[in-house]
Amino acid sequence: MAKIWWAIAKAEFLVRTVKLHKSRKILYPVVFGIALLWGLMLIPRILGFFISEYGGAFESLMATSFPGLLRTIMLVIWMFILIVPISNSLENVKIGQWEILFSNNVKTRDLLFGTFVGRIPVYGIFVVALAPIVVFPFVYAYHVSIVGQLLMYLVIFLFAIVTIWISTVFSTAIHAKIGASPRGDDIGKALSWALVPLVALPAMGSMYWMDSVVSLLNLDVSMILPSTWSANIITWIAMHTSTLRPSSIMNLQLYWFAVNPIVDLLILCVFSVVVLVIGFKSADRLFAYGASPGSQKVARAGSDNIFIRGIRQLFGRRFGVIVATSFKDYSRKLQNIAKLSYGLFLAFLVPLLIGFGPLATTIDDPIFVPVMTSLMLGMMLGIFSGVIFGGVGLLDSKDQLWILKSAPMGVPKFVVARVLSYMMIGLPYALFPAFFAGYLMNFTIYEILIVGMFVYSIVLGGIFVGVGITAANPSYEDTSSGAFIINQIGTIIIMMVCVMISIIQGVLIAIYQGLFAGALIISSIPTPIVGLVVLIIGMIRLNISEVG
Amino acid sequence: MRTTKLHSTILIIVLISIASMPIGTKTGSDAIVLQSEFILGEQVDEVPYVWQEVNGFCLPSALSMVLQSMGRDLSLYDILASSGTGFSMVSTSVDEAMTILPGVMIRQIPWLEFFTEMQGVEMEFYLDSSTEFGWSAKQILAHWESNFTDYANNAELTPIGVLRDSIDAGYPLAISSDTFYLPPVDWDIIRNYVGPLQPGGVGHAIVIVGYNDTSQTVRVYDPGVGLIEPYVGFPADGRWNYTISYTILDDAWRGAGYATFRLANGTGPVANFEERLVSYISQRLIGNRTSYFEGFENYFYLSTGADAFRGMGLDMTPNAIHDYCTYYLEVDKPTAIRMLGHNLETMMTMQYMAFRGSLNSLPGLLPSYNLQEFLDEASKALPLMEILSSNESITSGVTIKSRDTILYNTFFGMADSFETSNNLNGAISEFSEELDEIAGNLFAIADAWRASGEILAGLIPDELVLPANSNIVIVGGGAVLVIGIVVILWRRREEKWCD
Repeated sequence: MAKIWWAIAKAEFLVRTVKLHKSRKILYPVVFGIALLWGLMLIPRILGFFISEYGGAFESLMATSFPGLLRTIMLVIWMFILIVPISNSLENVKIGQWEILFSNNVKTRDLLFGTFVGRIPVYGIFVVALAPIVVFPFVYAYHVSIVGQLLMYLVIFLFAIVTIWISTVFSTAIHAKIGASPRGDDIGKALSWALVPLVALPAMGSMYWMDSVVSLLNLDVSMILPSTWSANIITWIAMHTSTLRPSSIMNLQLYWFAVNPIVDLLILCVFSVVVLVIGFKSADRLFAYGASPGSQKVARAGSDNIFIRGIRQLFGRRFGVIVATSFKDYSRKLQNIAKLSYGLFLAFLVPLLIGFGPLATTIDDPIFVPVMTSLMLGMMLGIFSGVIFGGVGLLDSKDQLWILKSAPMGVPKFVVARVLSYMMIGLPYALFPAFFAGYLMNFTIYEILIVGMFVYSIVLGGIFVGVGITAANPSYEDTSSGAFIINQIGTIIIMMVCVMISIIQGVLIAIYQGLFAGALIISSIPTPIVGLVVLIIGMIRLNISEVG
Repeated sequence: MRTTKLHSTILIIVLISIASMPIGTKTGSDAIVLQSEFILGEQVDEVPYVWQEVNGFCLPSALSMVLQSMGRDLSLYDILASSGTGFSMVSTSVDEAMTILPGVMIRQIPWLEFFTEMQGVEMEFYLDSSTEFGWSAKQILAHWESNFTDYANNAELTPIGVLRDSIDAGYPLAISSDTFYLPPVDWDIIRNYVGPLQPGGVGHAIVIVGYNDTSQTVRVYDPGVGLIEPYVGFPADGRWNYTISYTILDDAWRGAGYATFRLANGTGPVANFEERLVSYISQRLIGNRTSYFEGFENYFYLSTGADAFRGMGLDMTPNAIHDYCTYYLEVDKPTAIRMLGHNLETMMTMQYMAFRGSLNSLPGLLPSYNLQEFLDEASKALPLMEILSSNESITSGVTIKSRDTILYNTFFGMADSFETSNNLNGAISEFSEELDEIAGNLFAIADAWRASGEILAGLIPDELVLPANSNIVIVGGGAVLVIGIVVILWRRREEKWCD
């Protein structure tokens, strides 16, 4: 029994440290040592320098705000340890190897525990590097004793271990669930994209509207998060092992702890035990979620909906079929939808952060804030659209290209159909965030339309550039190929240059002439033009390329 | 010593206000109305004189004079009660700073704004940030996000112009001044031993009741004379009423950053005056940190209301006193220990006077409420506060008067013991029983303040106060719920279709 999970743990460790190759035995301790050095020597020096540089006011600010800041830091660390391993593992869903293992009398709990143990040394490095960021400010501001510091590190360590365990259980369960599906890989990729906003949105929301929720429930909403429990326990340890006076401890307790920290400690202990027990108990049931080995679900196609039929009608019988197929091909892939959702998620954040974040009070200009919001929105969505619509979406394989080239005007027709379908998909992708920003910023209908037009023009530029670059240098379905990476970097660079040029014009007009609409209209011109040039060049190159 | 610079500023941050020098005693409000013989360019007639009685009450006294001249019957203690200062207390304890602060010394502008809004009086606060004192005060006001009009930002706005406008409109003008330049003999102690007001210090509020451009003089009503030894007692000789030249006025006013409190009649008391005052006072007594330091509630070295007494009580331990001493040089430790005891007694005396007077005033301000239970509970704090108070602590001139009080005996004894033995731990431990007794008194005061605050809070109906942006939470939560339901239904439909 012990040998099996140990073997799996070793395998997991070897996979995770594959980049260190055969030098693991030397390089891993070196990396770990660097992390230790960073955490215990450099972080205190860097933070100490900044604290001493900015003087008493900064120290005072840090001392008074740190218990709250710690909750945010712990939330970030928690999400990082929880999400990153799941997201990484979902990039490549292959349960075939599991089935081999299970056919050799390996229990799921061995797999689970082995994976967990194998991950500890890898993600432990991050913990070692990040934990001093949490501990040091307390040590500095509250003069925490050595015993207190050790206890604080212990809490962080235990918290990290529990989180890695949860992460392992979740990723195993998700793999088991989607691995049996014929679209498992696609779903996995989609989930890996969608996971961050899915978790980050409520977390950020809870932070953003913390005051309202607190007032509404008369309870600290962040109390439901395990990261808050551990943050509170760390604060509590720091308080009671510091040189703070009893009155300060009383006020810290009154202000930061809605419930007694002992309750936090108990909840965290219970949570950890429950998570461990549930993880083990559910281990042997994980595969029951999905189909049993050997069975396959077959997806069946339904009849075309009104929209698809409309596309066919609009573009004629022959060309309409290509456009409709391209539309369906793109939209049925979950990973594309996840990428679009991710872009939308970031786009919705832009007006929230600029309009209602710290910048809103710093820069309170009636023209500058809306112009900046719109420009940032365009920049974000534009650059993202280049990546989302370019890359792997254009051509599946060389065979497909061969078929296209064998048809009269096959390549141009196909690329134009692709671009048209992307333009249709890009419409809501650009307009929803634009309308949302307009609504938040109290724009008039006319202004909202201008913002929508501007954002859509930049998105169009992104589509043109993304498709053009991919057409010039097809990467097919291989996301690990050199062509794919070069295309992505090329797309981002071209888009950034275009958008920066646009933005500079817009900002200058906003500053010197104070024209909102003028700034956006001028800013919307360069990107689609450059995009169109790149698209035409890409199309010509694809058309004349030899299919090897 | 690393944090000394920081924490020496903490008191300044808290003390935005007020006050004259340590002095003053006697109770009871006195108001004298003079018919002026002083022929001026303009003068507001029938301004009653209000003596401040206790050190630190100069601004409420000055306000009382201005308001009474406007026909508002508000005594000094009515103002202390209805501004909430009589029911407010803060303690601070961090590094070398360790003291309690009475209500009038805590964030002057917010309580002034609350008071004037409740009374429906128009109030504008002016300051000149181009002066050293004004610049320093501006930093503190900016830190607490308090509003004011800056003379330095408006070339057409001058202090003397504001003075003329106010008096021409029939309103005496309350200003802050540097007592170093004021002529009464009471302020000789400042001229001889203290010197001009320094940036970060506290000015003294006086009232200008008239001006004469021909003789270039103003007439001043000074509420603060008669507070320092050897001149303690109501200034029946009339030295509170004097004339100074524009030049002296400018020196005294500039020394305090040209701070100006301009009042004018407004719409009158707000409709729900009593209910709001009850709510406000209850929160001040209990120690609601938002009520005291909105936006800065996390400043854990500040304790508020009942917790101010409790916090200081908790710090009456040998360890905490020892920690306080470590921030002073060995040679300065005895003085630091003595000043700790003396300051605690001074501040407690000020608040004791304010609290006692405010309790007397409150029934008159809240005629619709039966306050008996509240008064009974709050009065339990009075004898305990008296034990920790001494009039002599606030009338001392240059030298601290010896007195037979627990705070004086404990801390002066502790300092003497340390000077003799040079053993700090031993000197502090020697007085641990006395420290326990002081702490016990402070805890009992805290209990009485909290209990009375809760009684007062119970007099007003509970309100369901939804935060301003709660709609976002409700709508957001609803949207998440709807999306969740839709997703579940869609999933089920899909599964059914697949089957």
